[in-house]
Amino acid sequence: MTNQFVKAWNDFASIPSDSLARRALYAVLIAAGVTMTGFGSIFMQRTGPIPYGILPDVRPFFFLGSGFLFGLYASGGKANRRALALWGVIGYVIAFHLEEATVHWIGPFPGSITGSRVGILGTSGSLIALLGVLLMHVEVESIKLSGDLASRGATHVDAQATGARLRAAGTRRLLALTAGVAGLGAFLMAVSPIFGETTQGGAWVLIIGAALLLALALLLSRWVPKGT
Amino acid sequence: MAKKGRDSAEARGLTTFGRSVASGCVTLVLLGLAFGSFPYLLAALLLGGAAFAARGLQAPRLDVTRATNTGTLRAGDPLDVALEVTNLGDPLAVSLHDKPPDTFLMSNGANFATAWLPTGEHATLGYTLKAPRRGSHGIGPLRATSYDPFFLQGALVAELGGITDVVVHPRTPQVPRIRTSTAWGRASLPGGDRATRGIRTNDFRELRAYERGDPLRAVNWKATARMSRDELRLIVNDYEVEGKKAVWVFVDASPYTVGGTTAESVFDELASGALAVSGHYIDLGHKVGLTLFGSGQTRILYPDAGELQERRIAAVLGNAEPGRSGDGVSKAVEATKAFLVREKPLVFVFTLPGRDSALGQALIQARAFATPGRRPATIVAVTPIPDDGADTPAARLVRIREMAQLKGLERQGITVMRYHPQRTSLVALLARGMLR
Repeated sequence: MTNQFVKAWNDFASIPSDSLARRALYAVLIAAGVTMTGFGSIFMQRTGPIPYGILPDVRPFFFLGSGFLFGLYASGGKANRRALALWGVIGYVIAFHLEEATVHWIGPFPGSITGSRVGILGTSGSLIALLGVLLMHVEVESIKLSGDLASRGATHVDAQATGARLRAAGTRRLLALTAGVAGLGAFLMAVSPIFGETTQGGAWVLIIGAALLLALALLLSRWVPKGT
Repeated sequence: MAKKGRDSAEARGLTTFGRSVASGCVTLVLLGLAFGSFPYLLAALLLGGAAFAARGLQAPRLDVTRATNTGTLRAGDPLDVALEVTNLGDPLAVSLHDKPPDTFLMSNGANFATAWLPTGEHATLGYTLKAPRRGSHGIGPLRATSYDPFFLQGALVAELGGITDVVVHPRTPQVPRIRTSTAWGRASLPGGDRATRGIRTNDFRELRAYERGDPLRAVNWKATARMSRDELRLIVNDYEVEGKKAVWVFVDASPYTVGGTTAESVFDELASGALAVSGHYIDLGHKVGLTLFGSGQTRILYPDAGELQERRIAAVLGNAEPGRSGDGVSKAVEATKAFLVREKPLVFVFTLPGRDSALGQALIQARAFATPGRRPATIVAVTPIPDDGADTPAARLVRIREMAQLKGLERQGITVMRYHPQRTSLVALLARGMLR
């Protein structure tokens, strides 16, 4: 299993930067995250297919397509395009978790969805979609930086090498950060039977989790070498 | 010449995308706290963590050592610059840009480089500049730019290494001869009189390398031992000879001499001419003194002979900063009075006519000081006339004033060398002897 993961990671890393394949991969990551967010929401769980069985259900295509379009839009141009894509993803995150979120705030009303647990699928999807946009940003900006350095007089090899090292550092740190946040989510799930769920004040467990995460971050930044 | 140091750092804040990430984080935090929603808070944590990490980007902590080739640097000479940059902080991607003086030309290498620097590692930067003009010029500081791996924060720029001052001496045009006029022939200093062939006196002049024909007793064995590292290099004592005369050079650095371009100015032309004349007479073995006036305090170099004196003159002219107000020519002559009276030198004055109304009176006074007996001393006023081609009333007025003053000088018996630098070089003029 570990070997397979390493092989998959090596395969991914071997995709050259500034290539269509790598950016398409990040776009697919965003599309997958958006789709998972949609499918993990109460909206998908409590509504029927659209348009109500007359035609095939368009919801998956809508999620995949819109997420992929976000990725394509963010894969070039200036930073404001990635900013817009980020806000699009944040919009999805807010919209598709809103019904769950309002449970605690509005409920419990009869017929509401009070007590439903936060879905793993939706939350993971949100994190993946946001990670996809951040990775796309690192990818695009590192390539632009390499070009800028070369145009200012650095040798082509040095400029490419600097961009590659910076991209690798950014990607590694973003993956670590996302893994930490996902770990906190898993921690919340694990302790929810003890501390209670959203409706029972369980949100305060976030403070414990965040403190643990902060301690871990301090530990990493203080004592673990930052690599060479 | 090497300098170390750390000067300043400049932070640029979050980028457009970084601000969106931070704003998204705040939005999700507010919603998460309002609704008590885990997904919102977790998503906010991801964005906030990235923004927080980006804001934690530190300015590069680098140790910078800049070295330039030593020795006298003259206008047009190549100047090698080498930098060694060592990373004292965390690993970082950095671009290095060493700022050369504006007027310098890049003749080899590049003053920009980029590298990924792990802690303790170093990068080097080497390039060659060409100094087009004299003066004191600053190289640096080194602008070191570090980049955020998330690209959420603008690059951090630190100015390191301080500024290395480089003094560029004016290039000394070689004057093979200065043709003398009849008036000069009457003076105590015939133009071709070589003062190195007279009878050797006991007055020590300088240490110099052995030349064929030098007597063995003139060898300075202590200096020879000091200078002979890999191979024997004989150093001899050089002594003054009888019949040596003195030349005094006045150079005007008043604010009106700063006119020109970034590559050359009126003062550069004056300094170049003064060096040419000084070099010529020093080569002949005569003593040359210098008075630099018009910019700050008047500077006087005691009259001396030898190569070292030529370097001293070049250094004074190289460091001159025309543009500051200072004493005029009258005060300069007054300050030099004792030397003029004692040495009775041939006097050259490099200035622009028509600017200082006291010029004529000052030169007559200088001649009075330098006159050894009944026969008046020779005073030569060298005045480059900028050929700007302007035909405005103001330009015409300036030309009228210049001509009036020059005519007045000539009537007083001052030798005037007036020339257009763009058309005729001073060296050719001196050799041809276009004297009035």
